[in-house]
Amino acid sequence: MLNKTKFALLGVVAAAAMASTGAQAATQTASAEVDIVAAVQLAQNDGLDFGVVASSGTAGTVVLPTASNTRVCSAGVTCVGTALRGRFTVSGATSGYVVAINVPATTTLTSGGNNMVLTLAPSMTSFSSTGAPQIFFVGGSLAVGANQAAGTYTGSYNVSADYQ
Amino acid sequence: MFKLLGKACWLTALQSVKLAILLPISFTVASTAAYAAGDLLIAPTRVVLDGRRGTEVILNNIGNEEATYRITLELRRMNAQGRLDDVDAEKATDQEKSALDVIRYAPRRVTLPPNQPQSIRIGLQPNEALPDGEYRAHMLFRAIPKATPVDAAASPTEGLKIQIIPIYGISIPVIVRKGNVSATAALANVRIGKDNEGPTLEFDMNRSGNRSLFGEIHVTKPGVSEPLHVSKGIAIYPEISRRVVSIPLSPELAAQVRGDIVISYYEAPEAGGGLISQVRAVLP
Repeated sequence: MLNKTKFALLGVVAAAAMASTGAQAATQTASAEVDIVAAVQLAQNDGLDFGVVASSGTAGTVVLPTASNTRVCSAGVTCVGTALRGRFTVSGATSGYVVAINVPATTTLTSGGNNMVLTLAPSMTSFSSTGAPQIFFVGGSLAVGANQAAGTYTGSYNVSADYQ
Repeated sequence: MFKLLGKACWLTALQSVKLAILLPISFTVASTAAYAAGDLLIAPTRVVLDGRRGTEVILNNIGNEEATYRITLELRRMNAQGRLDDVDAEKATDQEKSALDVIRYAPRRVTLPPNQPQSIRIGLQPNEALPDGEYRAHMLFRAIPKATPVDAAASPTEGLKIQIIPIYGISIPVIVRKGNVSATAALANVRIGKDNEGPTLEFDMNRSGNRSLFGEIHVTKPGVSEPLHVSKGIAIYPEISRRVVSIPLSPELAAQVRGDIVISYYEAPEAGGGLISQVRAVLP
């Protein structure tokens, strides 16, 4: 479709200007076809970051709530540095549209042969768009084992904005 | 008749001059939000193929770096709350497997520089033997995260460093209708419920027939044309015959819905906007 003559005006002009641009183009080219289609954008603003955690002989949990960046570390774990919730923005959804947010319940983080289970929670499972950008957060609870081996634990998780 | 997208259709499409104007995007967002690699824009947010022609969906890289996106077809099933649950491939029904067979699309993986749109073409694979009905899969667009080298110097000698990579994207339904399909819906059992955030206005949506319904819910007062509330993009899919629709009630809306209300389900404006079903209720 690369050789198709197409002008995609992506969020660079205001809605009123878009309408007039489309109308002008339609009168200039007799065969022109104007499609007005709703678009949606998803952007990641902050990555989910638990900071650095030290384990001990006692198992514990590190909880990063969806409501704030204040990490809560149970007995048995020591938290160092700062933490951040995952932060995403859905923009462009038509006002009144219902959009679902899908995040899996858990994911596993691994470091060599060691692993930890991360339980995930989004701040909302759906929203009704007001037309303005909608921010949502992803928090979680990390289960740290007794004497969890030191290292860099990596893992991934899926986030999707779903249209029904 | 299941007429399928062949080369001829694509050629016609190639000759057409089309202006795709993607609405609505607030440009104030672009100036305030920080964009990360892998951010994306998708338009439109729903695709229905009735066999006459194929279509295309636009994917745009709105991030600040080059990104590679993968496009996959996923199976989802609507549950009684109206949410779409993932379906394991081995648990897919014949109907769901047929959807994956019949929907063709390309490309399936694209690398785009910032602000570069790409059309994903969607068409149908001929299958005359397929029974009449509605077939659906959900097209998921997501960026493939770049491999970030683990910085050995930064690795703590004691303690656990945690690196979590989000794989994020947008999914839209791709619906194929073959032959005679029809459906009706009825609304019932209007009530006040509650969810984690507070009170909700709830009702049941009952569906019969062999296709989905899609449209808008309008909550109005009898004799008043201006709706108190509108929820758009509300679907009920053929795998279920009943779902609950739940509308969050702000304190203001909660006060307004007391007494006589009318709940109406309209087809989406682009599908004609006709009334599908309506119910009148009295709320305490």
